[in-house]
Amino acid sequence: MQNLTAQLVIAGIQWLLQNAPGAFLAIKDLLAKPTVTDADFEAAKAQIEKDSYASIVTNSQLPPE
Amino acid sequence: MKKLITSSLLAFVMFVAPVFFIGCSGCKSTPTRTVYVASGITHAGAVAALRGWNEYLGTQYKEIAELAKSDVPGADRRRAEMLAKEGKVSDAWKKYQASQIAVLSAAQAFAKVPPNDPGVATAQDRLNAAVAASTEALAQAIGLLRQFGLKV
Repeated sequence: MQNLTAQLVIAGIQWLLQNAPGAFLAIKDLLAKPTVTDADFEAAKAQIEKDSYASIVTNSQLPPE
Repeated sequence: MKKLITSSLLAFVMFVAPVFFIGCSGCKSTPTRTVYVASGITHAGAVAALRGWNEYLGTQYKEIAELAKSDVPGADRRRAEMLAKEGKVSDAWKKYQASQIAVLSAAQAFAKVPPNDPGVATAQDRLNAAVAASTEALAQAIGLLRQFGLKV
């Protein structure tokens, strides 16, 4: 079971590196954080808010809100 | 086969990896850090999936524009269908965003409750409910992307 989990993790990391290097770096940064402060939570919430549909889906043809 | 592998790996990023990291970090970390890290991993995977949708839309709208240019019947209908799908994905994404923010707020609140405080159980329940709602919202958003033809 542990081997399977390790294989899944390795496969997932390889997939991230190939398909979403930005996501991999973001995860690396997250894991490097020893403690999480209120400011970290606020920054994470602000980032999620910022990652709106319109900001990511630039090929969208929906009318602007 | 490639589709299956890609699907499995995306599922890993969004569902398995957070659980794996919860397991790993739980030994040496606080529950709130664990939630913070899991939320970050989930969000990174969700953004990657939405970027895939963006590429897919680019291809679809380009095809529709070419059909319309050649006066092929049905181009307008196809565009209207794509816009309807987009509307659903956009709504699902907003719900996912709100649910992830709710998870982080619940974890933040949980972190402020002293360990022996009688409010710990309530804060934990709120956090659990927020995580469950967020998992559901993400599953719905990804389900829509798959239903609409994105190979994730």
